Amino acid sequence: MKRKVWSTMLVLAMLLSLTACGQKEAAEAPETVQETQEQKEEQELSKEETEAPEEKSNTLVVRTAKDIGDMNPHTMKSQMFAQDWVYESLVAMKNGEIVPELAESWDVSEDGKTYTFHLRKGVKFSDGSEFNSEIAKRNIEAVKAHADGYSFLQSLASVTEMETPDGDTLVLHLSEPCNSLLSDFTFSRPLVMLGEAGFPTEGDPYDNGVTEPVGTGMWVLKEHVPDQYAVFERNENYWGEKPAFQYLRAVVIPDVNTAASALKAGEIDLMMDSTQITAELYEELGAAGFYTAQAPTTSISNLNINTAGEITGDLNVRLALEYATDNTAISQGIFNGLQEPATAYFSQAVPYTDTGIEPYPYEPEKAKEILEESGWVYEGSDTVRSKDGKKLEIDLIYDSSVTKDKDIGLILQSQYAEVGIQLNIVPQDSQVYRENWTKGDFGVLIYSSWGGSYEPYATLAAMAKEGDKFHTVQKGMSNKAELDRIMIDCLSQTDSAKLAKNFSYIMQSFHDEAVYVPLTVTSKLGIMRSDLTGMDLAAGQDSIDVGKVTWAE
Amino acid sequence: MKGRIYLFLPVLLLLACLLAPWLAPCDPNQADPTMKFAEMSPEHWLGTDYLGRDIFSRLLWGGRRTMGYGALVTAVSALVGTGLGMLSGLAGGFFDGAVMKGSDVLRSFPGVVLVLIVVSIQGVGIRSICLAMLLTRWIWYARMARNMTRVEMGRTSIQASRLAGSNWFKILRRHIFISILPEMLPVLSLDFGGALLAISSYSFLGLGILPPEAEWGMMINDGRNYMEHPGMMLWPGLCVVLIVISVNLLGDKLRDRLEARRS
Amino acid sequence: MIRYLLKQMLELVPLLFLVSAAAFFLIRLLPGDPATAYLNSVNVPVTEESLQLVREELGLDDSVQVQYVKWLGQVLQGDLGNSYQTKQPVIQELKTDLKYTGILALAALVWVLVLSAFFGILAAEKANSFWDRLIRGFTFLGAAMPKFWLGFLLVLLFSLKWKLFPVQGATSLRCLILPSFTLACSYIATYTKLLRNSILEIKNQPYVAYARVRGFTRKQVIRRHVIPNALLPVCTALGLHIGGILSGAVIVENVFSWPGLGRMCVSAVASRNYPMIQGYILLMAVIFVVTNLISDMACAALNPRIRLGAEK
Repeated sequence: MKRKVWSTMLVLAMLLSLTACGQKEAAEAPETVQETQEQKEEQELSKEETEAPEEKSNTLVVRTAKDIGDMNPHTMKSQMFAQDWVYESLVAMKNGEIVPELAESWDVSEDGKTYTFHLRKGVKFSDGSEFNSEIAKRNIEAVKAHADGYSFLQSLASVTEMETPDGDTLVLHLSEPCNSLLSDFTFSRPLVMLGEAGFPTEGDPYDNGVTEPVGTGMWVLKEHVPDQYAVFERNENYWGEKPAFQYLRAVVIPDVNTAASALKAGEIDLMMDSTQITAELYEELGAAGFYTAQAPTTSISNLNINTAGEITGDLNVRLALEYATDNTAISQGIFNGLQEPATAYFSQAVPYTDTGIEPYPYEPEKAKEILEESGWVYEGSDTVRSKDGKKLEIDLIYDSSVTKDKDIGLILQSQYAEVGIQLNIVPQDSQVYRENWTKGDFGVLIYSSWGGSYEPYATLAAMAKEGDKFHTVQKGMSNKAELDRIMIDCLSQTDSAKLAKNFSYIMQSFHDEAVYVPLTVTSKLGIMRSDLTGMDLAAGQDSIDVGKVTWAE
Repeated sequence: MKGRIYLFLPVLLLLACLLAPWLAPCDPNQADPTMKFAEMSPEHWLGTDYLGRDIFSRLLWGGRRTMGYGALVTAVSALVGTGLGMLSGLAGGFFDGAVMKGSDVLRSFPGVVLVLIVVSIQGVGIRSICLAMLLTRWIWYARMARNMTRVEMGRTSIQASRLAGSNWFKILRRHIFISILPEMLPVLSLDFGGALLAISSYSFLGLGILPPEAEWGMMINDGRNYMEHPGMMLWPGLCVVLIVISVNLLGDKLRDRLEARRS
Repeated sequence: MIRYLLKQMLELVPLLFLVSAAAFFLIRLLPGDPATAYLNSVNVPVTEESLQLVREELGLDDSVQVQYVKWLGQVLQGDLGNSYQTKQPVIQELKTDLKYTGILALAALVWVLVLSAFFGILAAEKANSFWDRLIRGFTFLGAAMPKFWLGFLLVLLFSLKWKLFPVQGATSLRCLILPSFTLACSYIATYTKLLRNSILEIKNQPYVAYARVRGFTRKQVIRRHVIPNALLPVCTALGLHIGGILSGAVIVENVFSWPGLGRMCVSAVASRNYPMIQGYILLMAVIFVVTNLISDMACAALNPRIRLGAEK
């Protein structure tokens, strides 16, 4: 009898594998694509017949990886994309450039200490109240009162006085020039404008939350079921071109594969992000007839080498790592070319940082030569080099929640093995990873730079700050003290020639000291159903800009 | 011979995995990005994965690890559990109370939290998962062994042996352990299946990944990101299912035998 | 009976006390400082002063023992503290999450009861027939399938191929079907087997034969004597499994993007949200001991020997 049970099981297993194989064939046969598309159209036609009122829905459904949060514009507890939907600031950043938003134009005085913003006229908050210089001042003051809470805002401390000569003009006086002031206003938070009705009766939104998320943005929050979904309605008071859809529904789907399935099943219309969507998913959905688009961001994935590390403190080892890294193989192998190989720590779109320094080429022979000359040699039949009895073993730590960093690590491991360096891959819990990084307890690590409004000033400030994890990486550089001085000078230097000189010193130091191995330029990937148009990927990597999305003709 | 067929396939799989160093056609960890998602072919019997690694070789090497750790967890928890249970049943009193309370506390702890905590402390990897599993898996054995020891203790043969001057250790080994053992075997077999499923589930949650080594649960977890290439998920999944089914069948068989012998 | 119940309940007090202590001290073994984690999560620079401020705010500046005593005092008053991340009361957050996981577990329970009763009775009635073997085959398969693997197969077939059920979400009854079945599958297998074996065993009892002799029809005997008695072990076993179903939901929640305790627990550990983890452990422990107690009670009600033994 057992035999019969067993044979039943086998048959079942076979059936299972057959269904799965059937799936595979369907997915991989390119010559049938057209057929399936026709079938799909047929299906859609029949759907139109049966669900006629559903078609051309006035709700756009987008996927979000996390819950939108409490929608407080002055704290970090909400997702940036949702804050972008509801709130606006004086200026915004598009493709690395600062563009007008609630301020139509601005003047900066000669000495760089006075900023005059000319506010857009006739702007109303979603509750109908008027946006003017008074409410702008109130917001900035509320944020400034908690300046300690925003490490990345360099300008807040230097703002000494605010004037509102009339309803449309806001003047900021600074104690010293601050190059990051405008880019500080492009962050999704906290320097964004909350309407009068949103302020709590006592204290600031920072401490006591908002009574109502009232903003000037395109969308107004209607309904929020935490960890499930949120519904936004079009802001009929919006000053610019209003979105085509009346409702925007943000559905929380943490897992990207589930999200892809939901897209295929028609449960969501659109998804975009720069961290989770894999090249395979992107291509698969593209082949399945979805509209796909991608755009490079200003965030760069870098290998950070611990300049004060036990083995990586040796400049020759760091140089060898530079020459032994083939980032084209990573770009092709993991990202199918969707992420270009990077050339420097900063993106070329970041002002002043494109100094024309050539990155180290991929020359494993050169890496071997450097190691050989500096005493890292093979002993006996070892496959790993050593020097004075010490093995050339380097620990790579990465945040275990970032899957693609694991894959990058695997490729680096095989590349470094070729020149006789053993790379140990150590996945770590996010907290442990950050703490080890801050303490300097690692050999190399993978990290994608902040990008967007953070570059370059907020990053420079962090690098120059003792105790910051960005500072730790550079601790062993021979010119670290001088470098810190120059980085701090960048923050308030108004002379653009001197600024350019400073940046060229910084970039040259990074290069000569071999601190970072640029890997790839992070790209933002967007996928949506093919009967929609107007996807815009230009805004920062964290935003989900759907204002122009509409049904295709 | 009849009825043994359910052992045939898993034993074959087990042997194949044990002989992985000789049978595997490729290096399981050799990444070759130019060969990713290769079809089934004479070089790559089951194709290659997203880094161009040979799935068949990884399956064989992965099986060693999955089954090895599964067996290790089961064996250690059975040994520790049975040992503690027997001692507890024998000693009674405070020791018994302490062991039973301790097991109660651990039992009412949600397993996921234990795993998450151990993984955070020890670092991501299959070793952490196994350690966390050990923390709860011994309880079953301990309870069973304790209750059975108490029953055995009442038997005249043991009373007699005690009167004859045997020491406790001898009694434990000669009488109690021998009579407990057959009861334990089917449980062991079923528990092994459970351990395999648990390991693969935790790997799926991303807690068992320690690249680049292969392991079935981790292979399934990797495959999850590439659903359009179901082979990556299908083969290791089928292996887990096959092995678990057969150890469950084996467990049932052993239990049937035991019951037949009793009556 | 009541004295037995009281005695059992009294025994739970020290157990829950031990669990609370274990939960509290165990999670403090986690590497990574919760104050630093909190500062990182809100993007505040980590300095000596900011750390000190946050420690005071979160009550982390006392020694661990003092913290425990304070926390225990709160818990006894029904307050589990506030979440570090959202600043909301832990109880409130747990309630929402428990609601979703509870719905999932309840639906799974319905699957288990309906399907295993049907298959179990069918298999026992037609013992050793083709149907019996087919069902047994399914029980082995069901018990051996990793939950997440099954979940993916179901999504592949029912959501993507036949478009019958949604892939994700928790907004309607249709969303519930796939996740709850995935969760239930291995338990259906276990209980089908349990029920089949227990029916077959009871069928051989003398009182069943006696009932037949007394002139009841076969159907009557099965309905009146066999099935009610055979269901008893199933019910008691279910009591033991409910805690497991609740904590096992974490995988299913992950596959189907179902909001609930599992998702909450993973993120709480990742962000070192101590009060949430403590609250979760305590909640699960209470559910576990209460369901155990109920199943104990059921046993005692059915089997007077246990009850009398305890009262002696």
